[in-house]
Amino acid sequence: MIEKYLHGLEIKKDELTAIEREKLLSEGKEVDRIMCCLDTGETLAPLINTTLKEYYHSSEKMCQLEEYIYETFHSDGAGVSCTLRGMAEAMGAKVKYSDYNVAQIETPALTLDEVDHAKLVDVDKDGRLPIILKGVEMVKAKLGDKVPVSATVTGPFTIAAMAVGTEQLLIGTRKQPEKVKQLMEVIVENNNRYIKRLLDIGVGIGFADPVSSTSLISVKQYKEFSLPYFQKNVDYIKKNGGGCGLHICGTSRKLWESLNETGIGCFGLDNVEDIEEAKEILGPHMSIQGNVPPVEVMRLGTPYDVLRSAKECIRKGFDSPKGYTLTSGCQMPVGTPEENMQALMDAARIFGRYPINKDLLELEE
Amino acid sequence: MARSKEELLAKLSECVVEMEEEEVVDVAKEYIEAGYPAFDGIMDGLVDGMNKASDLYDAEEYFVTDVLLCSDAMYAGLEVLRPHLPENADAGEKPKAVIGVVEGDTHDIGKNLVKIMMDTAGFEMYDLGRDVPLDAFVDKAIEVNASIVCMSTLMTTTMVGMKTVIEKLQERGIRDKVKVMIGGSPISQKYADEIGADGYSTNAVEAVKLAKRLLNIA
Repeated sequence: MIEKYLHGLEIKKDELTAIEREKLLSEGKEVDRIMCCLDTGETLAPLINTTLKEYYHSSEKMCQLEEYIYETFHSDGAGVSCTLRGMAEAMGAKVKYSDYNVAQIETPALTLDEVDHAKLVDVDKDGRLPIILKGVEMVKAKLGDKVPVSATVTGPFTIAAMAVGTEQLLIGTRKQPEKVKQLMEVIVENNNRYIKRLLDIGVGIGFADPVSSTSLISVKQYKEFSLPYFQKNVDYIKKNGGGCGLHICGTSRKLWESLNETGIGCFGLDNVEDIEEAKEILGPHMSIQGNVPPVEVMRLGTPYDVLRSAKECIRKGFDSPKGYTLTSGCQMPVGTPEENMQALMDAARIFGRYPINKDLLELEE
Repeated sequence: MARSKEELLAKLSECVVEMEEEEVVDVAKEYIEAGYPAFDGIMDGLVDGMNKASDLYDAEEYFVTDVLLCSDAMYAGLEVLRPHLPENADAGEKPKAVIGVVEGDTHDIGKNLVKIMMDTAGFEMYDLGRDVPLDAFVDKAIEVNASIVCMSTLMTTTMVGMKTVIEKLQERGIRDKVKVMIGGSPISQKYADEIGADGYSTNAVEAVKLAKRLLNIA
């Protein structure tokens, strides 16, 4: 059946704009299809003939990419990320930029012994923060009436890892726990300063917190060094009338019960976790997103592979109590073919069309 | 009263498991001063402890941080014991493995874990570090006559470097003399098959099993 894609398999046209769809869903009303977001960012800069390095340093390019994604695919989300190293860079880390590679930390901002001097950032001056904030503003102005705009903020524990080095941070949680906590407080404040601006612009907020994955830390470490500080950012957002979601790359299952208590509105699963399980545990508390494999399927697979994988995701997730959004399990890698992005959106139009055709979802090939 | 050899070995092992980086040094010194053989102290004390740590990691009772701290203790103990090994005690015995993070990538925690675990399992590790020029893998493998080349990366943009290394091993005529193992979050068995690597593993404990399987070591 899937092989009929582009050769007769029906793809119904969208009847709503992304913003109409989101609004109706939030009111519990009927819509044309499930939500589907392309998880983009610097890795897709080559789509607009831009290097990653240029993208990182240009508000205009950030906006241009989101416009391109919206116009070409009609993804249900647009946004700009602070990028994983953006805040650490503003705090003094040296970042190495490459044309066709994600940025990497060259020198950390500080050691844990220097934490008394950890920098409180000026979001209008430090690092690329002003460039990114301007990018968010531009996207909101250009696309805000058509598609929900959001901005990604890095989770506090991941910022700490980028600021002092991941291994140093992990070891620090044992050898210098008070220093780590002192650093975390500074990071909470830095994030809040940045978040305040995002709330002023009026965009949704998503956290990316890969270093909090249980692939790297224990639940105990998470609860002591990551969660309390993440919670402070979440509380700040909620106190100011905003909402937010979270994505953790890698394994996260053992953190889900804790996440249910945080008050976040959405969780994005990595493809190593199972949507069915997320629907059960997280589903009653928040909407869930995921989780087509970004490398195996989105980057290296064919459009048919994307359709197959997305169908499985929709089958597991579509009836999640607080909503489900089809997307990849993580940001799409550099070089992800446009046909595969199109196939992901089309999967929502084929298999995620309301009323959901369960027979179609269960259909063996 | 002086502690027996068995007591000291158990203590060395325990120091590693409990991440006692300072105490392990004292115990290792006491062990040597009592005249016991360094080799046993390493194998039945420190390495035994690291193996236990590795089992705990496998059972998800220990995490990355614990393994790093256990290995710090193991290496601290090794520094005391190693100078007391008899000359040529283990010369030529250990299989040699070259390991590194491929060029363009600086994420090295996974590589470090694999290195620690393989080191503990009796491989002689040549750690090239991170962001390693692709030729360096081949040069080092030839220089030390390695049996295994291990490569890791966290990024899709750099994983193609692994394929290049395999081609270079071929060009320089040593492909059939080394086994190639790869790992890292974007890597899969499928990718390993595609580029003609001999094996892929999802974590450090599996990497040791894979290395032993590839070399037919029990």
